[in-house]
Amino acid sequence: MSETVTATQPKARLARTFAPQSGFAPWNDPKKAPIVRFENVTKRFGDFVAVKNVTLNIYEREFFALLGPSGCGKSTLLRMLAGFEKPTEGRILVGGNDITDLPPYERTDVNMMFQSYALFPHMTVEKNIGFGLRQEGMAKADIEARVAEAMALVELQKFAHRKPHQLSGGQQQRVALARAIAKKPRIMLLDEPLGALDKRLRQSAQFELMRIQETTGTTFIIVTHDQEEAMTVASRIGVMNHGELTQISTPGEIYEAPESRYVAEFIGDVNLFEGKVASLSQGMAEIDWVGGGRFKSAAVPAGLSVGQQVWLGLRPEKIIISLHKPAVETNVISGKVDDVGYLGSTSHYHTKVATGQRVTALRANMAQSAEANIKWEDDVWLSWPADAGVILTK
Amino acid sequence: MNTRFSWFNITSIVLGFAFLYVPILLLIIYSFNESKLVTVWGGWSTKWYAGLLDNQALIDAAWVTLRVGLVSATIATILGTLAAIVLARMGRFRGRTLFSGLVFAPLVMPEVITGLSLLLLFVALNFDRGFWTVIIAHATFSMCFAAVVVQSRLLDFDKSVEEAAMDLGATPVKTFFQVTLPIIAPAVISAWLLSFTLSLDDLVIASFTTGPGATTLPIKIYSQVRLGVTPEINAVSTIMIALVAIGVLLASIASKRQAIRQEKETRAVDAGAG
Repeated sequence: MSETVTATQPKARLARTFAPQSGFAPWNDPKKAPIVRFENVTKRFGDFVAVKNVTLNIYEREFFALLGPSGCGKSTLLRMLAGFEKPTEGRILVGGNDITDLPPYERTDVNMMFQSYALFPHMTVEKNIGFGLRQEGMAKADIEARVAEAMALVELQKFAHRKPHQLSGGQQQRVALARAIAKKPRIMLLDEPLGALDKRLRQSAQFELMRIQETTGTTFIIVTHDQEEAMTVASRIGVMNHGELTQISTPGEIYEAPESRYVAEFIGDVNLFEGKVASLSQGMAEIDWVGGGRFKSAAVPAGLSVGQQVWLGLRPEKIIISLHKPAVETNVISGKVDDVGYLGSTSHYHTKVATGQRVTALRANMAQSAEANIKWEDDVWLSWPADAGVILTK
Repeated sequence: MNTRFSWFNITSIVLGFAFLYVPILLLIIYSFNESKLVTVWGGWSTKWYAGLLDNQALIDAAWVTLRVGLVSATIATILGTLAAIVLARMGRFRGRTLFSGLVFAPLVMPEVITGLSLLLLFVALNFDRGFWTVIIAHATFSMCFAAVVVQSRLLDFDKSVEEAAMDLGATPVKTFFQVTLPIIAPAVISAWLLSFTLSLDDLVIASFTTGPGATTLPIKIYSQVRLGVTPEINAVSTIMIALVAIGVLLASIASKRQAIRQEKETRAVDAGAG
């Protein structure tokens, strides 16, 4: 599945992506062996299919995010890697070895940080962090050194002798992280690690996670339902829906070149225009919009045919809103402002168009804006360049 | 406390407590009665307490009761904890409903039936009735109470704590002894105390399953009462009440002290960190 997902057309369009590219892309290197491989993994609970035939490669030093709404199977996938659930079908490989049948306590390459933190309430911070090392039968002096190292990494030294109930939520979260990291696993699993923190703390914790991932060089796999979090931390994102991986791409590709309406709508805001393909020529597609009018799009997915039902997906910031009709032939429609959302740095304009649907356009609030003061009930024009949108077929 | 008591509240509290404690109070007062006749007040005296020390049969019975209680409570707690773990942790296995039914049925089973069926079993097995048969019987019926207490603790216990221990490399046995047991320890201790108390005051099952040389205190008291209530019995009962009251008091003081210590710890660390 991953091969088909990464090798399709969207690559070509990445030139216009402004998302930062680090040059770290082991998934594009066919010689690189994955550190984790899910091979046709299916998990059923009775009649319910939690994970449906997932094949996924994750590479060393990656920060991989599994993203999806609750109940989409992302946590089940993670728990199968940790060993708490057994796949109904398929196998899981770590470093090329089949670990499908190993119990959790024999999976030494993998450690997990739990959503509830799962700290041992009867042990101090120090004892919590050293628990995993004591299980290995490590010498006492070595344990102390490793615990001190882990506590320094998350800045918890002051709290070494406290019990979990004497810590704040943010501190507990760091203990949970340190406890898993102290084992120096090759792969760290994080199940909604920041879900219980408030928004401000969550943002600083995200950068904290990225810093730790970089300094330790560990492969991180995070499960989250927060798309912003996934976009911030991850090198690649796997979007899940009803137990299936619908797209695996970098954050930039996911945002700029979603492969389905589901992915486009789940990540960020998107306006969808339904229509039929009218013509195809020279890397350009013409679409007859159901609301009347013909759009041109330069983003033509492979295998598109004339007459096919498609949706043109447009991000709000790519739509230009103006009071006067712009001097362009195509990709311009009229509408009436329905609602204005002022967010400080930007404003959202919700506009009713011919089909009755609401189209959202986003504009930065600059003092020198030529077209200031678009108000409620104003008749406006919405336009966009031919390369601004994506054609979605499903 | 600025809630004002209405007359209705005061009356109902007084009546309620009177209903519960006046009989016990009377028993305690009459244990200090000089007169040999239970119903006639003859002045204050502690002679019945002194007399107890000479009553070897009563002391023997108390000793048997204590030993039966200790051993049966321990057996019941171990078995009850195991049953609770199976019920709370094993998920849905074949026969789970039957198993939980079998564990909890003795809770509602009339004691007479439990006692009688155990007696029939011991007779059928040709078991000599005595100290050990009482222990087995008590462990059997108090086990289900222990299971209920431990299970309720296990049910509100975050299962991922155990998963975390296993994820960090602890085998299931190590996880149980290093993580699960320390966390559920308070519930296990109260299960033990409950089993011990149930064993102490059981009369019906003990009288079915006991044999020569294993007369427990409740049996002894009951058999003496049939011949007429003596102030001596009142004295024994008063001592039992005092012991239980002291035990409850000590337990609550200990838990209160721990709470205060914990709070102090937190404050001290906060001050140090701040």
